[in-house]
Amino acid sequence: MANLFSWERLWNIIPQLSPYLLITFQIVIIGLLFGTLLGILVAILLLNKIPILHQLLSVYISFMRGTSMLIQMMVIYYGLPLLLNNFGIDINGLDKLVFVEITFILNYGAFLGEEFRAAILAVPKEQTEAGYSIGLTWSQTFFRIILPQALLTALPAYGAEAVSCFHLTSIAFTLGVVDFLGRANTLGSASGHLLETYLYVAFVYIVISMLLRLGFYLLEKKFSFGREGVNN
Amino acid sequence: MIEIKNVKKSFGKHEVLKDVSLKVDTGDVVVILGPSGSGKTTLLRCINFLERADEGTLTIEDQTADLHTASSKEKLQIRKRTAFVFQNYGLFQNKTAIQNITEGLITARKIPKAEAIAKAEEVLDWVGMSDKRDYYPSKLSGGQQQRIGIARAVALDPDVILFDEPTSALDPELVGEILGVIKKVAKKGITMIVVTHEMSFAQEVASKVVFMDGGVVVESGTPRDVFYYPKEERTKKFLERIIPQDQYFI
Ligand SMILES: Nc1ncnc2c1ncn2[C@@H]1O[C@H](COP(=O)(O)OP(=O)(O)O)[C@@H](O)[C@H]1O
Ligand SMILES: [Mg+2]
Repeated sequence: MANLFSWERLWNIIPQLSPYLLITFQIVIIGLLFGTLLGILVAILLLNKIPILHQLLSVYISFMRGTSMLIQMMVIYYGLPLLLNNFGIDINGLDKLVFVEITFILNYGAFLGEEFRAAILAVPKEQTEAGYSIGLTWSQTFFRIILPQALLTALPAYGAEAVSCFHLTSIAFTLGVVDFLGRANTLGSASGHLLETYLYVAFVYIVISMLLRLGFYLLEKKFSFGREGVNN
Repeated sequence: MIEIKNVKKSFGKHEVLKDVSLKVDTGDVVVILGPSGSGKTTLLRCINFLERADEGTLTIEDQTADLHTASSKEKLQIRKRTAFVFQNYGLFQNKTAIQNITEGLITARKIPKAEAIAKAEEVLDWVGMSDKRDYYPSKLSGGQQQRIGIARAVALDPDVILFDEPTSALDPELVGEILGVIKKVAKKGITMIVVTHEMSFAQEVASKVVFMDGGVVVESGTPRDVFYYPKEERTKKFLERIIPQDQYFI
């Protein structure tokens, strides 16, 4: 029994593993931040049904939803330099982490774009008309009236996406980018102390997901516009 | 002066407005009556470009716009000269009572924030809603929401306010007080076009009553003319249905 688990080994693992959390955070934060902006753009473009662009977006979204993130990352890692090469842009020296981040941004842009599109459609059209009636332009109405209401509707689904994002970052390992989970895998198998390693990993993920849930709960409360339990 | 000329509008094959013209003098209150589906809402929406008419022109004081071909700039200019009070209030759900009023002042009309807030507070007080200043619409009753809706329109200081059945979504016991607020707006001398079924309101406040049916103006005149001496058979039939007989000849 004593061989299977020891507190001392657990303490030793913490400093070896923890720095890699930064990589994980970097992927998640950049992925979600720019993924959100891309998602809003995708939602606007989807709703405006611009010919050709609309078909291209459909292909993009089908690809992002229909394939695993690992495949997407491979396509981007090997495909993007070739594509950009055609335009005379050389990105071969780029840090691999950038490709991971691009993958996350594009993936979340597609998922959140669909999410936001539905949430925007759920805002009653009278809200838009009321905006026009007081002399607001389309963009003023959209960004000041419609989008805040849509984001509130999308918030719970959004929280779930954020939590799942943390679990997906380990795919970066395939490109040789070592994040928290990736480091845990190597450390665990190299030392043979799998139990301590994964106990610590589990603990960190539980804390993160609880903090995220708390964060989104507070966010929802703050921006509920007086409605209680809108999303419950 | 507001003048609407030869407005036509179809939805697919359904001709909803068939050549409607209407003139409203400054400070006048025009009440539009008519059975449901006669095109009253569509007419107001065309004036505010919430609906694009197939034909017709709109003149507000010195500005004339083609209701079919107006550019987005003209559209915006006209919208800044008009205000709309909706049947279902149409308050911005993500804005408090006062923000609902300041939004059009600050964002659309570029009035300095402090000035806009002062103006909004004054109008809030005027509709008796000062104590609900920082409430979100979801926390207000229908009557309270409509007071804010009216305050929002009045604060914009438009050339005309368009009211589309402003009391028909309210509980019956609240109708009277909201009509009272609308009467106050009329007393301010603001030009108004009001679609309503409230006959006593029309009688008391309207400078002109317009009866619409089937997408045309059937008859118009003073409340007295239209209510007591209707010329058209269709007007008589409508009034018989809507005014209780014992009130008819008072
Ligand atoms: N967006 C629309 N699409 C199709 N038909 C419409 C639309 N808006 C109104 N209509 C039709 O136009 C007619 C007039 O409607 P409306 O102007 O709302 O009448 P009212 O306000 O007098 O009751 C109705 O038959 C209605 O069904
Ligand atoms: Mg109507």
